[in-house]
Amino acid sequence: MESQIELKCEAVKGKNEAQVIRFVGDLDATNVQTVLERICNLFTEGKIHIVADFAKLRYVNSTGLGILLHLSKSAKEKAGSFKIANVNENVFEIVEIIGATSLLEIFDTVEEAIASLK
Amino acid sequence: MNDTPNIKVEDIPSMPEVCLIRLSGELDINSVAAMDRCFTLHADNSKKHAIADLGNVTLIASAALGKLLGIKRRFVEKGGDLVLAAMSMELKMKFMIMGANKIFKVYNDLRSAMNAYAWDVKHETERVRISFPPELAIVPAVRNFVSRVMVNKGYSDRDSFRIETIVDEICNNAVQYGSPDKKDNITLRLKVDWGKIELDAENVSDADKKANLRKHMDNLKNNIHVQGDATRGRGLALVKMLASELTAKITDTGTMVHVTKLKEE
Repeated sequence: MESQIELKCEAVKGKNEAQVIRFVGDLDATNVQTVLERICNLFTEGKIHIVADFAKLRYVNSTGLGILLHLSKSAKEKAGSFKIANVNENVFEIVEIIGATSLLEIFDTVEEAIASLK
Repeated sequence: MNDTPNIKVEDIPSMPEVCLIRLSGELDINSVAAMDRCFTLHADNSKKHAIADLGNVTLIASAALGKLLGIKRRFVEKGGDLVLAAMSMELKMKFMIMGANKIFKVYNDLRSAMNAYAWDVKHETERVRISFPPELAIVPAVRNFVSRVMVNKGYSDRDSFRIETIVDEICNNAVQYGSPDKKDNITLRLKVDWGKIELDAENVSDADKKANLRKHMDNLKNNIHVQGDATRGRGLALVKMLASELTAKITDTGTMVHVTKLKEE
Protein backbone atom coordinates (compact mmCIF):
# COMPACT_ATOMS: atom_id res chain seq x y z
CA MET A 1 0.00 0.00 0.00
CA GLU A 2 2.99 2.31 -0.20
CA SER A 3 2.66 5.57 -2.10
CA GLN A 4 3.29 5.42 -5.80
CA ILE A 5 6.35 7.19 -7.07
CA GLU A 6 7.86 6.77 -10.48
CA LEU A 7 11.28 8.09 -11.45
CA LYS A 8 11.86 8.59 -15.16
CA CYS A 9 15.51 9.15 -16.02
CA GLU A 10 16.71 11.03 -19.10
CA ALA A 11 20.19 11.83 -20.31
CA VAL A 12 21.23 15.45 -20.86
CA LYS A 13 22.65 16.09 -24.31
CA GLY A 14 26.31 17.12 -24.17
CA LYS A 15 26.59 16.56 -20.43
CA ASN A 16 27.58 12.99 -19.69
CA GLU A 17 27.68 13.45 -15.95
CA ALA A 18 24.17 14.88 -15.80
CA GLN A 19 20.78 13.22 -15.63
CA VAL A 20 17.24 14.58 -15.52
CA ILE A 21 14.95 12.63 -13.20
CA ARG A 22 11.22 13.23 -13.53
CA PHE A 23 9.39 12.48 -10.26
CA VAL A 24 5.81 11.30 -10.72
CA GLY A 25 3.56 10.75 -7.67
CA ASP A 26 4.03 11.24 -3.93
CA LEU A 27 7.37 11.23 -2.08
CA ASP A 28 6.93 10.13 1.51
CA ALA A 29 8.18 7.83 4.25
CA THR A 30 6.99 4.72 2.40
CA ASN A 31 9.16 5.19 -0.67
CA VAL A 32 12.12 7.41 0.28
CA GLN A 33 14.42 4.41 0.52
CA THR A 34 13.65 3.40 -3.08
CA VAL A 35 14.32 6.93 -4.31
CA LEU A 36 17.52 7.19 -2.28
CA GLU A 37 18.84 3.91 -3.70
CA ARG A 38 17.98 4.82 -7.30
CA ILE A 39 19.76 8.16 -7.12
CA CYS A 40 22.74 6.86 -5.16
CA ASN A 41 23.16 4.25 -7.92
CA LEU A 42 23.29 7.08 -10.47
CA PHE A 43 25.99 8.79 -8.38
CA THR A 44 27.95 5.53 -8.42
CA GLU A 45 27.60 5.40 -12.21
CA GLY A 46 29.18 8.84 -12.40
CA LYS A 47 25.97 10.81 -12.90
CA ILE A 48 26.85 13.38 -10.27
CA HIS A 49 24.72 16.23 -11.60
CA ILE A 50 21.04 15.53 -11.05
CA VAL A 51 18.17 17.73 -12.19
CA ALA A 52 15.00 16.63 -10.41
CA ASP A 53 11.87 17.63 -12.35
CA PHE A 54 9.02 17.99 -9.84
CA ALA A 55 6.33 18.98 -12.37
CA LYS A 56 4.42 15.78 -11.59
CA LEU A 57 5.44 15.42 -7.95
CA ARG A 58 2.12 15.96 -6.18
CA TYR A 59 3.22 15.57 -2.58
CA VAL A 60 6.30 15.55 -0.38
CA ASN A 61 6.51 15.21 3.38
CA SER A 62 9.26 15.95 5.89
CA THR A 63 10.90 12.56 5.39
CA GLY A 64 10.92 13.06 1.62
CA LEU A 65 12.47 16.48 2.05
CA GLY A 66 15.06 15.04 4.42
CA ILE A 67 16.13 12.66 1.65
CA LEU A 68 16.32 15.49 -0.89
CA LEU A 69 18.60 17.43 1.47
CA HIS A 70 20.72 14.34 1.99
CA LEU A 71 21.02 13.82 -1.79
CA SER A 72 21.97 17.46 -2.27
CA LYS A 73 24.74 17.11 0.30
CA SER A 74 25.93 13.79 -1.20
CA ALA A 75 26.09 15.31 -4.69
CA LYS A 76 28.15 18.25 -3.44
CA GLU A 77 30.56 15.88 -1.68
CA LYS A 78 31.12 14.23 -5.07
CA ALA A 79 31.72 17.65 -6.70
CA GLY A 80 28.30 17.35 -8.33
CA SER A 81 24.94 19.02 -7.83
CA PHE A 82 21.31 18.22 -7.09
CA LYS A 83 18.96 20.76 -8.64
CA ILE A 84 15.19 20.90 -8.46
CA ALA A 85 12.81 22.38 -11.04
CA ASN A 86 9.07 22.87 -11.61
CA VAL A 87 8.05 22.68 -7.96
CA ASN A 88 4.30 23.05 -7.52
CA GLU A 89 2.85 25.61 -5.07
CA ASN A 90 1.89 23.11 -2.38
CA VAL A 91 5.22 21.31 -2.39
CA PHE A 92 7.10 24.61 -2.48
CA GLU A 93 5.26 25.75 0.64
CA ILE A 94 6.46 22.65 2.51
CA VAL A 95 10.04 23.23 1.29
CA GLU A 96 9.80 26.84 2.41
CA ILE A 97 8.34 26.08 5.86
CA ILE A 98 11.08 23.56 6.54
CA GLY A 99 13.61 26.23 5.61
CA ALA A 100 15.06 24.17 2.78
CA THR A 101 14.86 26.86 0.07
CA SER A 102 18.32 28.06 1.05
CA LEU A 103 19.70 24.52 1.16
CA LEU A 104 18.34 23.26 -2.15
CA GLU A 105 19.00 24.68 -5.60
CA ILE A 106 15.52 25.42 -6.97
CA PHE A 107 14.78 26.53 -10.54
CA ASP A 108 11.58 27.49 -12.35
CA THR A 109 12.25 25.15 -15.27
CA VAL A 110 14.36 22.10 -16.13
CA GLU A 111 16.02 24.12 -18.91
CA GLU A 112 17.18 26.76 -16.43
CA ALA A 113 18.49 24.06 -14.10
CA ILE A 114 20.41 22.42 -16.97
CA ALA A 115 21.78 25.76 -18.12
CA SER A 116 23.21 26.33 -14.64
CA LEU A 117 25.27 23.12 -14.80
CA LYS A 118 28.97 23.80 -15.06
CA MET B 1 -48.76 9.36 5.90
CA ASN B 2 -50.40 10.63 2.73
CA ASP B 3 -50.81 8.25 -0.15
CA THR B 4 -51.34 8.60 -3.85
CA PRO B 5 -49.95 6.06 -6.32
CA ASN B 6 -46.68 7.92 -6.91
CA ILE B 7 -46.03 10.34 -4.12
CA LYS B 8 -45.87 10.30 -0.32
CA VAL B 9 -44.95 13.27 1.80
CA GLU B 10 -43.36 12.39 5.15
CA ASP B 11 -41.60 14.03 8.07
CA ILE B 12 -38.04 13.20 9.02
CA PRO B 13 -38.10 12.85 12.83
CA SER B 14 -34.46 13.94 13.30
CA MET B 15 -34.90 16.91 10.96
CA PRO B 16 -38.25 18.53 11.68
CA GLU B 17 -37.62 21.37 9.24
CA VAL B 18 -37.11 18.98 6.30
CA CYS B 19 -39.86 17.32 4.32
CA LEU B 20 -39.26 13.93 2.67
CA ILE B 21 -41.02 13.34 -0.65
CA ARG B 22 -41.01 9.70 -1.67
CA LEU B 23 -41.74 9.16 -5.33
CA SER B 24 -42.19 5.79 -6.98
CA GLY B 25 -43.01 4.05 -10.25
CA GLU B 26 -43.34 5.78 -13.58
CA LEU B 27 -43.65 9.52 -13.30
CA ASP B 28 -45.28 10.36 -16.58
CA ILE B 29 -47.69 13.03 -17.73
CA ASN B 30 -50.55 11.26 -15.94
CA SER B 31 -48.74 11.54 -12.60
CA VAL B 32 -48.28 15.28 -12.71
CA ALA B 33 -51.73 16.24 -11.52
CA ALA B 34 -51.59 13.69 -8.68
CA MET B 35 -48.12 14.91 -7.65
CA ASP B 36 -49.30 18.48 -7.56
CA ARG B 37 -52.51 17.66 -5.68
CA CYS B 38 -50.81 15.49 -3.11
CA PHE B 39 -47.98 17.88 -2.50
CA THR B 40 -50.21 20.94 -2.19
CA LEU B 41 -52.54 19.11 0.17
CA HIS B 42 -49.99 17.57 2.48
CA ALA B 43 -46.79 19.52 2.37
CA ASP B 44 -46.24 21.49 5.55
CA ASN B 45 -45.79 25.13 4.65
CA SER B 46 -43.47 25.70 7.58
CA LYS B 47 -40.83 23.42 6.05
CA LYS B 48 -38.24 25.21 3.98
CA HIS B 49 -36.31 22.20 2.75
CA ALA B 50 -37.21 18.97 1.02
CA ILE B 51 -35.49 15.80 -0.11
CA ALA B 52 -37.10 13.85 -2.94
CA ASP B 53 -36.33 10.14 -2.66
CA LEU B 54 -36.37 8.76 -6.20
CA GLY B 55 -35.13 5.29 -5.22
CA ASN B 56 -38.25 3.59 -6.53
CA VAL B 57 -38.78 5.72 -9.61
CA THR B 58 -38.37 3.80 -12.85
CA LEU B 59 -39.12 6.55 -15.34
CA ILE B 60 -39.42 10.28 -15.25
CA ALA B 61 -41.04 12.17 -18.11
CA SER B 62 -40.24 15.77 -18.88
CA ALA B 63 -43.69 16.85 -17.62
CA ALA B 64 -42.96 15.28 -14.21
CA LEU B 65 -39.54 16.88 -14.19
CA GLY B 66 -41.22 20.21 -14.83
CA LYS B 67 -43.51 19.57 -11.87
CA LEU B 68 -40.50 18.78 -9.64
CA LEU B 69 -38.97 22.04 -10.79
CA GLY B 70 -42.16 23.82 -9.75
CA ILE B 71 -42.03 22.19 -6.32
CA LYS B 72 -38.36 23.11 -6.02
CA ARG B 73 -39.26 26.74 -6.83
CA ARG B 74 -41.72 26.82 -3.91
CA PHE B 75 -38.95 25.79 -1.50
CA VAL B 76 -36.42 28.17 -2.99
CA GLU B 77 -38.92 31.04 -2.59
CA LYS B 78 -39.04 30.19 1.14
CA GLY B 79 -35.24 30.36 1.31
CA GLY B 80 -34.77 26.59 1.17
CA ASP B 81 -34.31 23.97 -1.53
CA LEU B 82 -35.52 20.66 -2.92
CA VAL B 83 -32.74 18.13 -3.51
CA LEU B 84 -32.93 14.70 -5.11
CA ALA B 85 -31.64 11.39 -3.76
CA ALA B 86 -31.19 7.71 -4.62
CA MET B 87 -31.72 7.85 -8.38
CA SER B 88 -30.85 4.77 -10.39
CA MET B 89 -27.94 5.06 -12.82
CA GLU B 90 -30.36 5.00 -15.73
CA LEU B 91 -32.38 7.87 -14.28
CA LYS B 92 -29.21 9.83 -13.51
CA MET B 93 -28.11 9.50 -17.12
CA LYS B 94 -31.49 10.73 -18.31
CA PHE B 95 -31.27 13.65 -15.87
CA MET B 96 -27.88 14.56 -17.28
CA ILE B 97 -29.12 14.40 -20.86
CA MET B 98 -32.01 16.71 -19.92
CA GLY B 99 -29.54 19.02 -18.14
CA ALA B 100 -31.47 18.65 -14.86
CA ASN B 101 -28.30 17.85 -12.94
CA LYS B 102 -27.40 21.53 -13.35
CA ILE B 103 -30.64 22.58 -11.68
CA PHE B 104 -31.00 20.04 -8.87
CA LYS B 105 -28.50 18.91 -6.28
CA VAL B 106 -28.38 15.14 -6.61
CA TYR B 107 -27.19 12.72 -3.89
CA ASN B 108 -26.45 9.01 -4.18
CA ASP B 109 -28.74 8.07 -1.31
CA LEU B 110 -31.05 9.49 1.30
CA ARG B 111 -28.40 9.38 4.02
CA SER B 112 -25.99 11.46 1.89
CA ALA B 113 -28.72 14.02 1.21
CA MET B 114 -29.50 14.26 4.94
CA ASN B 115 -25.78 14.57 5.80
CA ALA B 116 -25.35 17.28 3.18
CA TYR B 117 -28.30 19.16 4.64
CA ALA B 118 -26.85 18.88 8.16
CA TRP B 119 -23.52 20.22 6.86
CA ASP B 120 -24.63 22.82 4.28
CA VAL B 121 -27.65 24.27 6.05
CA LYS B 122 -27.32 23.46 9.73
CA HIS B 123 -23.52 23.74 9.71
CA GLU B 124 -23.34 20.72 11.98
CA THR B 125 -19.97 19.26 12.94
CA GLU B 126 -18.88 16.08 11.15
CA ARG B 127 -16.92 13.53 13.11
CA VAL B 128 -14.75 10.81 11.60
CA ARG B 129 -12.82 8.14 13.46
CA ILE B 130 -10.12 6.08 11.76
CA SER B 131 -8.35 3.23 13.50
CA PHE B 132 -5.44 1.44 11.88
CA PRO B 133 -2.48 -0.78 12.80
CA PRO B 134 0.89 0.93 13.31
CA GLU B 135 2.27 0.43 9.79
CA LEU B 136 3.84 3.13 7.64
CA ALA B 137 2.35 1.64 4.49
CA ILE B 138 -1.18 2.44 5.69
CA VAL B 139 -0.52 6.14 6.34
CA PRO B 140 -0.78 7.32 2.67
CA ALA B 141 -4.29 5.87 2.41
CA VAL B 142 -5.29 7.58 5.67
CA ARG B 143 -3.94 10.98 4.64
CA ASN B 144 -5.49 10.73 1.16
CA PHE B 145 -8.84 9.85 2.70
CA VAL B 146 -8.72 12.84 5.06
CA SER B 147 -7.71 15.12 2.20
CA ARG B 148 -10.72 13.94 0.19
CA VAL B 149 -13.00 14.53 3.18
CA MET B 150 -11.72 18.11 3.41
CA VAL B 151 -12.23 18.80 -0.31
CA ASN B 152 -15.69 17.29 0.00
CA LYS B 153 -16.42 19.62 2.92
CA GLY B 154 -15.58 22.67 0.83
CA TYR B 155 -12.03 23.27 2.04
CA SER B 156 -9.72 24.65 -0.65
CA ASP B 157 -7.15 22.44 -2.35
CA ARG B 158 -4.43 24.35 -0.50
CA ASP B 159 -6.04 23.87 2.93
CA SER B 160 -6.76 20.21 2.15
CA PHE B 161 -3.12 19.71 1.17
CA ARG B 162 -1.96 21.30 4.43
CA ILE B 163 -4.30 19.08 6.43
CA GLU B 164 -3.12 16.06 4.45
CA THR B 165 0.45 16.97 5.43
CA ILE B 166 -0.48 17.35 9.10
CA VAL B 167 -2.23 13.96 9.12
CA ASP B 168 0.72 12.33 7.37
CA GLU B 169 3.25 13.71 9.82
CA ILE B 170 1.35 12.96 13.01
CA CYS B 171 0.47 9.44 11.82
CA ASN B 172 4.08 8.77 10.76
CA ASN B 173 5.21 9.90 14.21
CA ALA B 174 2.63 7.67 15.87
CA VAL B 175 4.01 4.72 13.89
CA GLN B 176 7.64 5.69 14.48
CA TYR B 177 7.40 6.40 18.21
CA GLY B 178 4.48 4.19 19.21
CA SER B 179 4.16 0.54 20.02
CA PRO B 180 5.03 -1.68 17.02
CA ASP B 181 2.52 -4.30 18.16
CA LYS B 182 0.02 -4.70 15.30
CA LYS B 183 -2.79 -5.04 17.85
CA ASP B 184 -2.06 -1.56 19.28
CA ASN B 185 -4.04 0.43 16.75
CA ILE B 186 -3.48 4.13 16.13
CA THR B 187 -6.69 6.12 16.37
CA LEU B 188 -7.23 9.32 14.45
CA ARG B 189 -10.28 11.40 15.28
CA LEU B 190 -11.41 14.30 13.10
CA LYS B 191 -13.89 16.95 14.11
CA VAL B 192 -14.66 18.92 10.98
CA ASP B 193 -16.44 22.27 11.19
CA TRP B 194 -17.07 24.93 8.59
CA GLY B 195 -14.24 27.08 9.87
CA LYS B 196 -11.78 24.61 11.37
CA ILE B 197 -10.73 21.02 11.80
CA GLU B 198 -9.56 19.40 15.00
CA LEU B 199 -7.47 16.25 14.87
CA ASP B 200 -6.55 13.88 17.66
CA ALA B 201 -4.04 11.12 17.07
CA GLU B 202 -3.69 8.58 19.84
CA ASN B 203 -1.29 5.69 20.07
CA VAL B 204 0.10 3.24 22.60
CA SER B 205 3.57 4.23 23.77
CA ASP B 206 6.73 2.31 23.22
CA ALA B 207 8.88 2.56 26.35
CA ASP B 208 12.16 2.64 24.39
CA LYS B 209 11.12 5.39 21.98
CA LYS B 210 9.19 7.62 24.36
CA ALA B 211 12.27 9.52 25.49
CA ASN B 212 13.08 10.41 21.87
CA LEU B 213 9.61 11.78 21.28
CA ARG B 214 9.83 13.84 24.49
CA LYS B 215 13.15 15.24 23.25
CA HIS B 216 11.56 16.24 19.93
CA MET B 217 8.68 17.94 21.71
CA ASP B 218 11.10 19.82 23.99
CA ASN B 219 13.16 20.93 20.99
CA LEU B 220 9.99 22.16 19.38
CA LYS B 221 9.03 24.15 22.48
CA ASN B 222 12.50 25.64 22.68
CA ASN B 223 12.68 26.33 18.94
CA ILE B 224 15.74 24.13 18.47
CA HIS B 225 15.93 23.32 14.77
CA VAL B 226 17.06 20.13 13.05
CA GLN B 227 20.44 20.34 11.32
CA GLY B 228 20.27 21.24 7.63
CA ASP B 229 21.07 17.86 6.07
CA ALA B 230 19.54 15.58 8.70
CA THR B 231 17.08 13.18 7.07
CA ARG B 232 14.55 13.02 9.94
CA GLY B 233 13.10 15.05 12.79
CA ARG B 234 11.30 17.83 10.92
CA GLY B 235 7.80 16.38 11.01
CA LEU B 236 6.53 17.97 14.21
CA ALA B 237 8.15 21.31 13.34
CA LEU B 238 6.28 21.21 10.02
CA VAL B 239 3.01 20.40 11.80
CA LYS B 240 3.62 23.24 14.25
CA MET B 241 4.05 25.67 11.35
CA LEU B 242 1.02 24.43 9.42
CA ALA B 243 -1.33 24.09 12.39
CA SER B 244 -3.11 26.82 14.28
CA GLU B 245 -2.50 24.91 17.50
CA LEU B 246 -0.47 21.82 18.41
CA THR B 247 -0.34 20.07 21.77
CA ALA B 248 0.98 16.68 22.75
CA LYS B 249 0.43 14.68 25.87
CA ILE B 250 2.91 11.90 26.51
CA THR B 251 1.98 9.55 29.35
CA ASP B 252 3.39 6.22 30.48
CA THR B 253 0.82 4.36 28.44
CA GLY B 254 0.24 6.44 25.37
CA THR B 255 0.63 9.60 23.36
CA MET B 256 -2.14 11.96 22.32
CA VAL B 257 -1.43 14.69 19.78
CA HIS B 258 -4.07 17.36 19.31
CA VAL B 259 -4.03 19.70 16.31
CA THR B 260 -6.38 22.53 15.43
CA LYS B 261 -6.26 23.94 11.93
CA LEU B 262 -8.34 26.93 10.99
CA LYS B 263 -9.74 27.17 7.47
CA GLU B 264 -7.62 29.78 5.71
CA GLU B 265 -8.92 29.98 2.16
